Amino acid sequence: MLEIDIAKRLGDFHLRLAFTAGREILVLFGPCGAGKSLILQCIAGLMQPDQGLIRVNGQTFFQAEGGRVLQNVPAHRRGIGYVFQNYALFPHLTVAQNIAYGGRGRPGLEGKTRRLLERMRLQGLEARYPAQLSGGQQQRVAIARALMIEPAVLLLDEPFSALDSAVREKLQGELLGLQRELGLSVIYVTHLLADAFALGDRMAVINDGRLEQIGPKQEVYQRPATRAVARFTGTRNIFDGQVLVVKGREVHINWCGQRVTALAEGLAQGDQVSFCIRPEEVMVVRPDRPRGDSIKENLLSGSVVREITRGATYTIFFRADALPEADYHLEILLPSHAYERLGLASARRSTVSLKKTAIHVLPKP
Amino acid sequence: MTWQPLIISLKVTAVATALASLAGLALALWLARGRFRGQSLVETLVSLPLVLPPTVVGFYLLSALGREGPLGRLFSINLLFTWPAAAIASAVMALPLMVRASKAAIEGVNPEVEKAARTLGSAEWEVMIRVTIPLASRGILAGMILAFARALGEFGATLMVAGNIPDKTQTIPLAIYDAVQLGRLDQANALVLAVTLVAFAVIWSVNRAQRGW
Repeated sequence: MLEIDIAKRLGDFHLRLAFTAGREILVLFGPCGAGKSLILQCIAGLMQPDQGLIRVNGQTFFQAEGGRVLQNVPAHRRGIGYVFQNYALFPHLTVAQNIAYGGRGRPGLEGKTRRLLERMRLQGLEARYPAQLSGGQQQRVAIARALMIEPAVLLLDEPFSALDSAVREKLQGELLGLQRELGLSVIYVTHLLADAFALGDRMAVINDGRLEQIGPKQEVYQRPATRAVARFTGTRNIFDGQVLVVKGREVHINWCGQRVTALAEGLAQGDQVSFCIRPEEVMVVRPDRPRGDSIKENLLSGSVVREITRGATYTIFFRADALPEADYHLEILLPSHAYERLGLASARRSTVSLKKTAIHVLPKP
Repeated sequence: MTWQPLIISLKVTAVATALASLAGLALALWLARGRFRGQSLVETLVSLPLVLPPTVVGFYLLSALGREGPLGRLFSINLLFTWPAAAIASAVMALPLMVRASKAAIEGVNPEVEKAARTLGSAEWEVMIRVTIPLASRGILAGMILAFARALGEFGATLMVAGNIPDKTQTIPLAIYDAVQLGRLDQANALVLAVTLVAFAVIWSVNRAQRGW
């Protein structure tokens, strides 16, 4: 159990946030420069916050109030596992020596090193130096080395960003297994949405030194609390409007003269709101088929401006006739087979539907 | 024909290299990793012997080491005109080279690797001994070679504080100068050859040792 509630000023940058993490994988997700690594360094004791509290399993590692530091356990006595972004292996030590470093002088070191070498599939590489290893192997050594101190908390700073996708997926699976097996609290920093999704139980979205939202990853993904979260989690279509009518859970929003129906609570007539829809949730209406009820909601007709293919998917940029002139209004993500079946490539006129259940009204402006 | 200057030179150079290496490494660690007021002042002072004429450094040392100087009073001995004075003078002249080379090497050590050692339970002194110094060892060794070379060739400052007393403080560079002045070219030839061999042997074996790593 990790509790953190800290503030730190670094020049113009101001970090101020609080969260707790249990025996789980908590992803700190956010853009580069949001302060994610700084949080890890504060937890590990490599950086001292200006004030606040850091506690692991009831033991206070850091406490400062009103500029007075009451407790500050140095990094070497915190026993927190840390896997650095570029692994930071000891270049002058072999793989086995790197792994054994954290357990030096303790009984049973040899057996423990051997078990970690096996656990991380590093047998046969014991005598190699870090420079003689591939990226994925270095990463496994870094994890094994951090596990040697039997940490209750394991911190990982962008651990997979330098690896190709096949190696990355394999390592992600291994890390997941390790966390379950050892009951660790894992705090995992990434700026890549795919990585955040592959591993996290819960996700904390960090932006500009603040916590934007924390919760189960599906919830953060589907119901972003702020514009920033919506943007970081890949919602391209974010719009502003004004509430026209509220009918129970249903709200009608004036979106530049277009009426849009959505589901939301706690809104009143006249409120300024932001709402969003994920690119994959926009439905393209087949022109040759009678429309079912579900896709009669929020119809917009217009034209496809251009498309980009990424192999398995197509991203389509759509301009609606009824909205004020712009390059495009909606970004739509379609699987390739749907794109081909819809004949979008040739027929550039089309109609889209924004299902009211797919529209998410942001709780905060 | 006497080999006394060679023996004195080896003694002086060995002690001077050891002094400059230890003090230089400590200073380099302090300067490279510390953050404190007056850091650049200390760095400038340490580098001064590189720029000042050796006789000026010798003059300062003359005042410092004499019976009336601060060091002389502290230990209540007169070091002047003894071989240890020559060793101290050579060490001071060699110090900036050691500090500069090892400081650059220490600054080149990836701070992330030092941080990793901290998270793995190493206190600051252990990080230094197990990580920083081993990783900077090539630069530190280069600094020691430079210090050795400077100490072996030291002339001006040594002459000021230790004089040129045959069989007591006369090192090879001083003896060669004397021999040439007195027209004893056989003596000069022998000493020049000897010092060349010593220099060659030291550098060669260090290079060999380094390649083996």
